[in-house]
Order: sequence, then C-alpha cells, then structure tokens
Amino acid sequence: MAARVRGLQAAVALVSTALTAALLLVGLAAYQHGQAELASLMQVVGRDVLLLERDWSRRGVIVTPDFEVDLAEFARSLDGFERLALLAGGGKSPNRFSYYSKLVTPEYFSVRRYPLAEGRAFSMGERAAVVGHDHANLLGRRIEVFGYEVEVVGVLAPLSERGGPDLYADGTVFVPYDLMGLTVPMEAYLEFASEDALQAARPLLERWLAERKYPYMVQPLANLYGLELRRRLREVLGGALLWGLLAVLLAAATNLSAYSLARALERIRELGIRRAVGASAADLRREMLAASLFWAAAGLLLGFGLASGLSRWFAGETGLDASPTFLSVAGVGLGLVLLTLASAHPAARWAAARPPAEALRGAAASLPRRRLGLAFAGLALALAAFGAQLGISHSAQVHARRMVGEISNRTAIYTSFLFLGRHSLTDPRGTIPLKHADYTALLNSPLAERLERTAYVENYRLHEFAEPGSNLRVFVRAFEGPYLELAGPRLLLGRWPEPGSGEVALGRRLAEYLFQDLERALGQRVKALGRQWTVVGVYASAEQDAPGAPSDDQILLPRQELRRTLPGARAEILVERKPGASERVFDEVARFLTERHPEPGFRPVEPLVRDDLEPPVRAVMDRLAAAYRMLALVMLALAVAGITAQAMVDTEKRFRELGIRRALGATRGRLFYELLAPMAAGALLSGVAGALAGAGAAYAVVRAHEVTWAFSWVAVVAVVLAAPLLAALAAALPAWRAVRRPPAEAMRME
Amino acid sequence: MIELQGVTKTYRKGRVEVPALRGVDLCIEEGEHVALVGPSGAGKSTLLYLIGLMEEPTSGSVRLFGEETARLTDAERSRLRGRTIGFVFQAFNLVPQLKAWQNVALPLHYQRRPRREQRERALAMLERVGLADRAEHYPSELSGGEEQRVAIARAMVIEPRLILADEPTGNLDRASGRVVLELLETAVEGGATLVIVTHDPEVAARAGRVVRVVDGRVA
Ligand SMILES: Nc1ncnc2c1ncn2[C@@H]1O[C@H](COP(=O)(O)OP(=O)(O)OP(=O)(O)O)[C@@H](O)[C@H]1O
Ligand SMILES: [Mg+2]
Repeated sequence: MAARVRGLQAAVALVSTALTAALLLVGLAAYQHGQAELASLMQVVGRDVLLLERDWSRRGVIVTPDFEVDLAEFARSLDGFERLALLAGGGKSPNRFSYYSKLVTPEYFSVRRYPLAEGRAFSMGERAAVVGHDHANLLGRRIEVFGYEVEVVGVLAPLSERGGPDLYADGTVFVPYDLMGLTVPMEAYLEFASEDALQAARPLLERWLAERKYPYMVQPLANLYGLELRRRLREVLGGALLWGLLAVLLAAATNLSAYSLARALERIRELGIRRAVGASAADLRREMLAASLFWAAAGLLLGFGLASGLSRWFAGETGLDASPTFLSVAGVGLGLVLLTLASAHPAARWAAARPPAEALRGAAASLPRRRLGLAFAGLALALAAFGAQLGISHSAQVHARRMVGEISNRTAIYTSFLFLGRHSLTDPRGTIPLKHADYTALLNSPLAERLERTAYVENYRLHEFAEPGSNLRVFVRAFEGPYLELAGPRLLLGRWPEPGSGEVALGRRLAEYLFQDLERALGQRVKALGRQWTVVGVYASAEQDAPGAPSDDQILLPRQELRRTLPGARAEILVERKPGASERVFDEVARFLTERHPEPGFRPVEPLVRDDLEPPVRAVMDRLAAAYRMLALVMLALAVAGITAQAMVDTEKRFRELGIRRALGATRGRLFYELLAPMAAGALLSGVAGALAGAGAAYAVVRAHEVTWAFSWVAVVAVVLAAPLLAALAAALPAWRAVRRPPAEAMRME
Repeated sequence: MIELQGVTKTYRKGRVEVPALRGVDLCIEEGEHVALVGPSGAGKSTLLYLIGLMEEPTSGSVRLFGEETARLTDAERSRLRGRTIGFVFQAFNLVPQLKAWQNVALPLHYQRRPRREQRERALAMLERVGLADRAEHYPSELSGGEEQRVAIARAMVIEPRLILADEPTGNLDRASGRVVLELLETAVEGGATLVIVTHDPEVAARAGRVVRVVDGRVA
C-alpha cells in the first residue's frame, strides 16, 4: 500500500512538473512568437518616405507645374534624399463606367514598394498603364483612361493584404504622370536613405513649404499605415501578453511549492528517523533539494516532449506559432530549476528544522490542513492570475478595437460614395445612387426582421459655409434612425440635436475653426443648406475614419429637418444584424438594394464591414486574443492539476483515517461528502479571493498601461463559481476511490 | 558519562503548557545497563529523547561523554548522535521505502562512508541479528519481530557507546522480545551503555539499575 502511495506521489510530481514545464515552454514560445507578431505590426512600408499631400483646406491657393521642378531641386539639397515620386489625378466617376486611375511617375512603384508580378513598368511619355492585381486579365489589352487609349504593360503583385493606403492598389490603373500633359501633384513622395534622414529633413521641408506658400502637408508615409496606432496597439497587446506570462509563472510557482510542502509533510516521520540516526538539518535540506532537482530534470524532459504536442495544438487553435525556440527551452530549463529550488527551499527548511523527537512522535498530524490551505492558496493565485489575465486581455482587446475605430462587426454599411470595399475598385462600373426610398423599402421588407437596428444618412457637400469666401470643405450629414449609436461619434459638449427645432451638432475641428473655442460654439447660429441652424452640441469622431462614421469637420442634423432629399445628396444605409443572425444577411441586404436599381452600368451594392478596414492589424489582434485565451486556459489547467494532485495525496494519506471512520459506522456517501465539502468550501473562498485579487491586479495593470478599463462581471462570477466546481471535480475521483476501499484494507495500512 | 542536572521539559501548545519533566537529576556511568520505568505519561520517552539529543531541554543541562550539549550546533549534535548513539523504538521506525540492509546502512550513509563499506557492514550486522537472508526485503515484508531486529542492527552498526531503547519489546511476543533483549545485552557486554524504557518488570529485572520516573521526576 505504501508503495502505491509512493508511486502515486512520484507520478503526480513527475506529471505536474512535466505539465508545468510544457505549459511554461508553450507560454514562453508563444510569448516570443507573439513578440515577433507584434514586431511585424511595426514593419510597415514607407518608414523612410515623406509624403506631401495637397492641403485642401487651402484650395484657393493656385499651384503651378513649377512646383514640381522647385521641389525636386530642394529635395536634392536634403541630406540622405534618394528619390522623388509624384502622383496626380486619380479617382473614378461615381455613376458611370470608368477605371479607378492614378497618374504616377515611374519611381512611384519602387518608392511605394509595389513590386511587379508580370510585365514591366512604363516610362514617362508612354501611352501605357500598369494595373493592380485585380486587373491582371487586362495585361496586353488596350483600355481607355481619362479619355486616352493606353496599353496595359504590367501587373502589380497583390497589395491589398497590406491594408492602410495599399488597400485599394489592387483595383487601380496607373498611367504615366504626364499622360494628360502638364499637371500638379496631389501627392509627392520623398524617399530617404534612413528614417533618421527623414526625421532631419521633415522640419526643413515644412519650413520651405511655408516660406513659398505651397499648400501641402507633410507626414511620414508610414503614418498612413497607422504607425502610431500600431505602436500603441503593440504596447497594449504586448503588455497583456507579458502579464499573462508572468501570471503563468506565478501559478506554476505556487503549485510547485505546494508540492514541495506536501512531499516534505509526507516524509516528516521519515525525516525524524533520519535525524535519529545522525542526519543533520543541513544534510536533510541538501537531500530534499537534490531530490526536487531530480524531479525537475525528469519533469523537464517529459515536459519537452509534451510541449511539442501541445504547441501544435496551440498553433492550430490560435494561428500563433508556439514551437519551442532555443531561448524558450533554455529559459524554461533554467527557470524551472530555479523555480523548483526556490519553491522547495522553504518546505525543506521547515521540515529539516523540526526537532527530531517531534517528527518521530508524528507531530505533523495537524499539518495536512495547512497543506490543503496552501493548495487553496495556489488555486486562489491561479484563479487570480486567470482573472487578471481575462481582465487585462479583455481590456486590451476593447482598447485595441476602440483604437482601430471598430463599431462592431455586426454592422455593415451600404453607400453611394466611392468608399471602396475589398473588390469594388476592380469593377469599372458606376456606383448605385441609394435613395431614401431604398431605406424605407428595406425597413418594410422581411429582411428587417433579422436586423437589430437600421439607420440612414444623407450627405451634402457644402461649397460655401458660414461666411462667403471661406474655403472650408464641409459635409452635412442628415441622419434618420439610430445613426448616432451605430456610427458612434462621441458627444464632447452640449447635446445631440432634436428634430423640429433647427438644431445641429458640429464636429470638433469645424467648431474650432469657426469659433476658435469649443465652449463658444454652443448656442451659435450657422447658415447651411439655405437656412439658419443653432449649434447645440460638439462631437468627436472615432479615432479612425471609416465609411458611415462622421468625421470632425462635419455637421450632424436630423433628416426630418429637411423634409425631403435635396439635390446632390449621397446616401448611406447602416444596418446592424441581430446577435443570432448570420453574416449572410449583409449580402442579402446588398442583393435587395441592388435589385431595386435594375438600370445597367452599375456595379452591385456591397456591404462594407468594419473588419475590412485594417486586415493586418485585425489578424494580429485576433491571433493574440486567441493566445490570451489559451494562456488563461493554461493557468486553469495548472490550478486544476495542482488541486487534483493535492486531493489525491490527501485522500491517499487519509485511507487509514477513513477506515477508522468506516469502522465507526460512517457510510460511503457520508464520507464522500465529508471529503468533498471542505474542498468545495475552501475553494469557494479561494475563488472569491482569487477573483477579487485578479480584478484588482488587472485594474492596476490596465491603469498603468493607460488602457480603457473593461471588465466583464460575468467573468468574475464565472471565476468564483468555477473554483469550487473545479476543486470538487478534482477531488471527486480520488475521494470516490478512497471511500470504495473495504475498511479492513485501510486498517491494515501502516 | 551521562549527567543530567535540573532538567525540565515543557511542551507548549498555544496557551496550554504540558510539563513533561519537572527537574531531573540523573547520572549514568559508562557501561551501565539502566531501565527507566514508570507510569504512562510520566516522561520516560521525553527523558530518552533528551539524552539522545533529539530534543532540547527547557532548562537544565545535559552532559554527554563529558561535553555540555547545549553549546553544540545542530551539525555537531547530529554528528555526535550519528556516531555514538543507537536508537531502538517501540514502533521500529524503519524507513519504508528502503530495503532492510539500506535501513541498517543509513547511519553510515550520514557518516559519508563509502558505499561498499556501508553495504558490507550492514550485511554483517544483519547476519549478527540473524536476518542475513532478509537483507533485500522491505520493512513491509517483515514481521514485527524481524523489523525490530533490523532496527537493532541499525542501532549497532555504528558500534555505539550508548544505546537508547524506548519499549523495544512493547510490540512483540515474549519469544521475539527475548531475542531482541539478548541482542541488546550483547552490546552491553561489548562495553556499550544501555538505557531501556520498559513497562515489563521482567525486562527491568535484567537491568543493572532501575530508575523510576514518576510525574516528570526521578523517584
Ligand atoms: N509534542 C508534545 N506536545 C505536548 N505534550 C507532549 C508532547 N510530547 C509529549 N507530551 C506530553 O509529555 C508527557 C510525557 O510524555 P512521554 O511520552 O515522555 O511519556 P512516557 O513516560 O513515555 O509515557 P508512555 O509510557 O505512555 O510512553 C505526556 O503527558 C505527554 O502528553
Ligand atoms: Mg513513551
């Protein structure tokens, strides 16, 4: 019997160490690969390219083609300058057949890092075109662009995967910059030898532009790929990952020390015997540490095997590589040895310091309670870690979403604008002009039942605004339905306009421009669409522009104010599907809207879903989110393994006691209950403690990282309830086996 | 060679104090065979543990082989115990996961003797207690009497100057008890000192001197 307990303990020690090693290994490897993933966020094209963009708020300023010559000359005087590329024109006529085209100089392709998949680039003066990958079938054909016939000589590699400003490259037709004769650049690109050279040149260039009154704005091309956003995302997501790894370590350490103490307690009598025959406390300490090192080594070996299987599963679940790297193997190896020593040392010290007589008298009888207490502390810690991990990663994700400007992927937008979805550029046909009638028809169709909310907004471009002679480019958005909730502008000051009283809300930038001060904007009168309005609120847009969302230089007002659609309106319809409805409803709405416009020459309406906006960023976020969930699972697994092991050892040790109880008349059911009840009660306490500690830790970390705090109380309650359940489950099997043994067998045990 | 002066031992558990020894003066000469007798709970085992350096007195002095033991460090006390004192207990106290010969060799292990020597001396000792053929057995595979003989072999393998036995025959039948007692007495013949705690008048009668312990005092 004793041999059985020993075998069991050995197995428990080995398996738990192996599990710890494997989980740590996968965790660390995942962390490393996660770091690489995060680093890839920062690998955007154009960190050494400065972009000059036409400043449309100064549209009154005339630019002559001399600018180009002037710019080239100045650029050459800048340190580290390498190349200049120009872009002009661009666009596509909304409601008629045309390719989305841009005029570019040949350098454009290399400066933007657009590799050719087939054919060649053009040179200046040539009647030729290079097309995006979606137009690959046009290679060798002659097409009409801006009224000129050009031959398609090259096809670019697929680029839309890169997202950001490259999202639409696949559908674009590029033609030589001078195809239509003299023109002025809409964008100019200055490539430098390094990011440092770029940083040094930027203020010089800005000063030069200001001195010559050229209406261009300067920014690093990388910003268009959301470099700043990515940097912050990386911080937030990386922070969550790091804390998750620390939590795994913490859980592993408590478990290991619980084991060490359990082993020391088990052996307390034996240690007394060894003391009686002459072993000193130091001898025993050394022996115990050596033994735990042996287990660490054996567990490590087994753990490496386990980890390779586990990492495959992990990779399958999360898409994040977690195969062991040299660093993770070395790190976990060394770490586990240190962890083992550190966690075994207190127990060894304590056990060795018992007076030998006390140990021999079996004075440790009251200590198993304490050991169980430690196991529960381990559980509480693991749960705290779990809760913290949930809280941190949840907050990180919410924050990241907010940064990416996502409303929700339950929302789709249908637009008459040339806001371009994944494939819309490929199609040279025109865009369907959506109308208010389309919106009401949708509301009355059976499709409406599968939609949670639906909103409609009309956009009017105002060429003149407030004062005559102003060059501001302003849009009015007249909305109907729960547009404000769906598009998600944030109210900064005042309130939203009420219908029927001539009220509007101004975007923050516009309010600043008109009234210098946001506070002063409230109550002001503005003129638009041929009448007077009262400003009752100032709003800010989501951090990133997106179709359907109002930007900071617009005006929002209820559509009822207009009574009818005015000329020049461009409409958008926003829909949110019901939580249960499948994403297919978006396509069905698209088909419904398309079928209402049977006139030829239009491409079908397509749903724009917010997820399409930053594919690479989203991919990283999704993979990391999956990794967080895995890390949290890992921690729960560790906690359960810890409790199971303790429960097993505990019930094995109590066989004799159970036999005595049975001899005194206890039934199996009663004993089973007696074994489990303290487990569940202790675990409930650890659950509460763990959840509180976890939430607190998560809050502290989230605050320290200046991330939006988002904690789901459901998770807290789940953690509190999961603890007793897990503990009871973990203890149930060994307890059941223990009470099923015949009492006589138990009594014969030494 | 064993001198106890004014030795007291009080166990403390929370607020409860249990005085196990209340001032013991005792002198035992080299080569003596002493029996400690007395009612249960009188403090005999406690006295034995104090003499064997398994515990420290609450007050008073314990001199062993002319040395004041209070001044010794744990390592020194352990060495002294390991090289000169052999223990025999009522409950045998063998290490269950070690074979019989390994149990016997345990004191030599802590003296850092070479492995060969450990094994040879352990086997020789087992032969002397008549268990040469059970050397490879685990304690759970031996009878109580055999286990106690293994325990005696373990106590004698170091050629101790002092043997402390706490009711060594308490768990044994008369015949096995006699065998155990005879083994202990051969050690005394070899010059060792034997202090034996017992409830058995027959065992006590064989001792050279009987010390009565009553209520934590030597009567
Ligand atoms: N660790 C301890 N904590 C508290 N009290 C103790 C402890 N160990 C022993 N005692 C008490 O000390 C007293 C003496 O115990 P001891 O074991 O020396 O008695 P004994 O004479 O050997 O008895 P027996 O003949 O029954 O073995 C007893 O009252 C006992 O309850
Ligand atoms: Mg006793």
